[in-house]
Amino acid sequence: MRAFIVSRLLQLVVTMLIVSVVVFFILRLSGDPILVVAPDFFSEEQIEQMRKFWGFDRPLGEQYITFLRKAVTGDFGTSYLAKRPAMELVFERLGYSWLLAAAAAAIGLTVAVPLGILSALKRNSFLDLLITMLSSLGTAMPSFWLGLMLIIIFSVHLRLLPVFGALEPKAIIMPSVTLGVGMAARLSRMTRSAMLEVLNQDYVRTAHSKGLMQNTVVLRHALRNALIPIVTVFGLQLGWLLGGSVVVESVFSWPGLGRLMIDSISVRDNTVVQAGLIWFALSFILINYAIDVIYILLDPRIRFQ
Amino acid sequence: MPIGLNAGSANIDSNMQKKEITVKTARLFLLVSLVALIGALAIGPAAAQDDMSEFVFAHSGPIRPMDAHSHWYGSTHWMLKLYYDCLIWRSADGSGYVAEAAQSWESVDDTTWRFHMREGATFHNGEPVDAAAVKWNIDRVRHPIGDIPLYQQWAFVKEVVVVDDLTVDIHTHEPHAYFEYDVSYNGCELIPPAYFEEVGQEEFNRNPVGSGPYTLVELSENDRYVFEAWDDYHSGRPEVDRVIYQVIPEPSAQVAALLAGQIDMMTGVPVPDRAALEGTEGITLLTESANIMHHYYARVDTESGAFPETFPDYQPATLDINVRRAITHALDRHLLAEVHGAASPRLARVCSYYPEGFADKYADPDIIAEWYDPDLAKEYLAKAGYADGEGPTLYLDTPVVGRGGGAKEVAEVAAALLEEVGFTVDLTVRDASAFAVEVQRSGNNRDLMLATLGCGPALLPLFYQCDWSAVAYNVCNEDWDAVAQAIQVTIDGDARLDLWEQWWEYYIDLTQTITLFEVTNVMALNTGEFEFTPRKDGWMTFRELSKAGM
Amino acid sequence: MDAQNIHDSKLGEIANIPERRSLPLRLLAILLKSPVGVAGSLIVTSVVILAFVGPLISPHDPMSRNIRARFQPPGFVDTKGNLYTLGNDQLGRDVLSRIIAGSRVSVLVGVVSVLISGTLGVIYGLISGFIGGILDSVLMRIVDGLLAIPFIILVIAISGVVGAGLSTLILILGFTGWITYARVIRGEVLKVREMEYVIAAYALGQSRAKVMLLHILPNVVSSAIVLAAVQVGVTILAESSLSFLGLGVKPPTVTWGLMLADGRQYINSAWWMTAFPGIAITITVLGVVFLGDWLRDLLDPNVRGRA
Repeated sequence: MRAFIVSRLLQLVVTMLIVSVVVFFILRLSGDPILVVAPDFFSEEQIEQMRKFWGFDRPLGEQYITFLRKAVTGDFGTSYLAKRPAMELVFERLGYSWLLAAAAAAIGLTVAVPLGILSALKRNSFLDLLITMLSSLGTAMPSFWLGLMLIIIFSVHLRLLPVFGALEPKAIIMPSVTLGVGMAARLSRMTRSAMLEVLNQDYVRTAHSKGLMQNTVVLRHALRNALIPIVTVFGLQLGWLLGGSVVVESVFSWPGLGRLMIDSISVRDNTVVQAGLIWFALSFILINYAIDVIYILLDPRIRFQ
Repeated sequence: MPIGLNAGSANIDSNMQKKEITVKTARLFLLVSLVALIGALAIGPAAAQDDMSEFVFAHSGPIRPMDAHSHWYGSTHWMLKLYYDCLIWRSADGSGYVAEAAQSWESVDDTTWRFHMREGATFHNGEPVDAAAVKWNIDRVRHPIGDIPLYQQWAFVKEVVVVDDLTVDIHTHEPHAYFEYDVSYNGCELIPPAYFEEVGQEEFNRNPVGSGPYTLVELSENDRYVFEAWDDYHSGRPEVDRVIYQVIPEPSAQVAALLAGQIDMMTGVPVPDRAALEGTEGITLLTESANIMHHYYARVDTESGAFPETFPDYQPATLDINVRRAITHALDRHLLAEVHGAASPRLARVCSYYPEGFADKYADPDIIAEWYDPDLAKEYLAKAGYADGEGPTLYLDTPVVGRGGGAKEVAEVAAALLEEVGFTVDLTVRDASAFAVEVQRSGNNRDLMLATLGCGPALLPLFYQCDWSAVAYNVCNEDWDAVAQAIQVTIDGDARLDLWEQWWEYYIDLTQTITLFEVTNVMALNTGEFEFTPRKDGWMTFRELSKAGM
Repeated sequence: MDAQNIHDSKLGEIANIPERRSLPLRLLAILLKSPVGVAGSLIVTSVVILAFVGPLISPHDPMSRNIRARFQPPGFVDTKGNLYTLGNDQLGRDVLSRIIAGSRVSVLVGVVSVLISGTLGVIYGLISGFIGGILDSVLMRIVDGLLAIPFIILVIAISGVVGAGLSTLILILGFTGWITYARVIRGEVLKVREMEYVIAAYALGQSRAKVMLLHILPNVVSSAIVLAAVQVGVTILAESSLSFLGLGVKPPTVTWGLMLADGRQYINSAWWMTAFPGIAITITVLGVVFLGDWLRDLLDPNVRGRA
């Protein structure tokens, strides 16, 4: 158990190192961002001055080492534009993103799991078809488009919900639903097939033959076993959730990390983009790591490699 | 989005799976989701509910740091003007300058300006706004410190001398025609020296201190800025208690928010929404120059910028002045302005309310209508050696939106107009930063590119001079240079206007910059609660805002 | 996939259909048994046909402007009696014609970038799984690292920096999408490589390369196809998100994502500019999802539901 945790931690460090390389070099594909940051009327001299100040005159390898050395101490550099530490800006927005992700995940879970189970139990019925159709629709719909349609209906026409921001509790309804629908769709598809697989297993059939009631079978036997793949998919879907939040936050002017990323990418405020990307990666890895650990805690019989 | 099929390395032994996994998993799941749901609905800052009058302005963003000396973003300086005083500032009606931190000012001689400060005036933290503070501030902006980049725009200042506590002299290198304009330029905002030196730039950006009529009470970077009226402002407490700049990037979201009563004012109202807003009780549309003009820059040399490396063998058709003249006469500016949706056609690059813009000549609708002359354009093309209908290929680069909006739509129509007289147009649309990096800033304009610029006269002559180092303007002409030099050192207003008249002749004739139109800002205001007269300079700052019916 | 698995899957049904019919006919017979498969292939086929013959059936020129008839609602008839079924956009262009023109980009982006990413991913997974050892560990850590950054954010960051056009975007989507395949294919390879017939092939003295290409590759291809079907949908959505955010394809190319980006500005008054391109995307991706579901059931019961 301890060996497992330690080896996974080591893996985590290696993975983060790779993430840092990818993030750093991707953002430098097009050279330094000074040309975007500097105004039109600047002279070559002023631009050179800015370049020097931010260290873009150094060789790329050296820049990376400097970046890494500071990053391990939590210093991701100063935002070119906000002139404040990049990580500070990220943390400022993080709470809002977590709130949104949690609300969306809650919607996803409370809607998707029951629907998926229902769908599997009534396999090939009209209900199953309806749920399958809806969940397919949920996967196929671009989330930002759904968001725009919700704005038209609930803000522009009905005037029920606020268009932007996070200033009142009901402001979270539209963004979280927009984000939650995609997740619910994927999760319910997953739940359905996981349940179907489990329902076909010998021991469930055995339980049936012992004359156990349908509901008991489902809840006590099948669901528990189906949970493992569902939890795994849930962990992976969080990655989708983080990604989706970028688009959805920009549709609803939600002051989260996703919008900060879009704003920063569009003006090439690379230190902030770096900090944000690293944070996304770290939270994704940590969540999935936690899920792995929860597995063992819950069921030591699971064998780990 | 499927990320991977089994990223976690939990490998479930299928034999073991037959045994039950403890029911805790299910409970945990339910609990987590419930807590998340309740948390999500319960948390969230409640909106302030009190008697203070509160005005919310929808800012399209981005908003830059509170250290006003460290950047040049006009739309951030709009907001900073609530919070900071300058020595003097442009009056709202565009007619001159008004005193702010200085009580009065005068020109002592051709190169010396004297400012008299207000007795007892302080910053929000109690530090005095005195001669020493002024010297510290101007010395800061006119020197390169860190990446603080505005120093070349303040290079006209030779020295700042503290005469006594409340008197300060600014000496210029030579007579400076636009001294008052330049001394109220971005970077003019006064910040408290002692506080700044104590806390440093980062902390200052978190907790800034100014001396303007409003204090900052809440700051969420590039999202929401809440200001409250300052009781001790030297010219009296402003009328509206609370002014909020709320960043909402999308105009459509701004319109919806205005209709829903979430905001009180927006700018850049989209064309199809104007009728609906106008028909809404309590909302009024206001229009005023946005102080932004759209131009197409023609390539006039093959040496400057990255051009020689990027396109080593490319000979721009626009090197030929007759091709450039063909372009300017092929563009129907009235049509382009209509496509843009909020613009007035122009021929010269200074906004029409400045006397230097000579609106009677260069903003006259009839003259501009006649200027559009496809036959004349074809004649010029023939002069340049192109047979009828066989004009050269023009590469036209534009950002999607551009300052003032509508760049892409305008470019699509401009391309069609150019093709009508025989050009072949290769249009490339990029997002703003790609456009800046790949075309504009790198000097990679091949034939034509969009330039969306402010329209004040002060710096303009400088841009077209032979020794100006920024790319894209290299249409060097010695005679024109001499006129430009003269404008910049002529203090007498009438004599300077005569020089301007000559300057425009060169501008029009050389056709390096093909001016299209001046953007009009269409604003929507909650006139049920507030009264506001838009400033001539296009600044969305709200010192002069008042409550309706008072 | 071993022989046993083939009999488990619906592909086994091919064997049950009388031999005198040709293979395509037999596949068609299977297809017709599945309503989802029928719906999916109908949608996908129509979109592909639309992409090819679009200009022939388009009611108007998708680029032709009419400034004086902009923002006209669906069903607008101009002075010459021309009908604009789905209304006009901000330059007075016909929304329906532009949706038809936009299908071309969706098909192109979906197919080409999935071909690129599929090929790269299969090669990567094949090498990693087949060679194994340290190389495998290294390659998989790289995949872990890349997987940790949500796909859409990675693509947004790259295209934000590189600045995308149609071809750049296809490349970006192609060169980031492979990560999805690498892991799955590697897993499949690990399974197949222990199969008796592979071991037998070694025993018969076949070279490693030959074993990899002749015995392992064919057995992982079905998983790749199933994944590819899913990825086509994901890619089409990614293209529209990117173009919507202003980081994807640039005008004057017509794409559904760009139409949405344009429409967004006028959403309060001209809903048709946003509603119809969104419906077009949804229906198309729905078709791809259906087709993918059907293929998955047909080819690869092992991956069922995982995506």
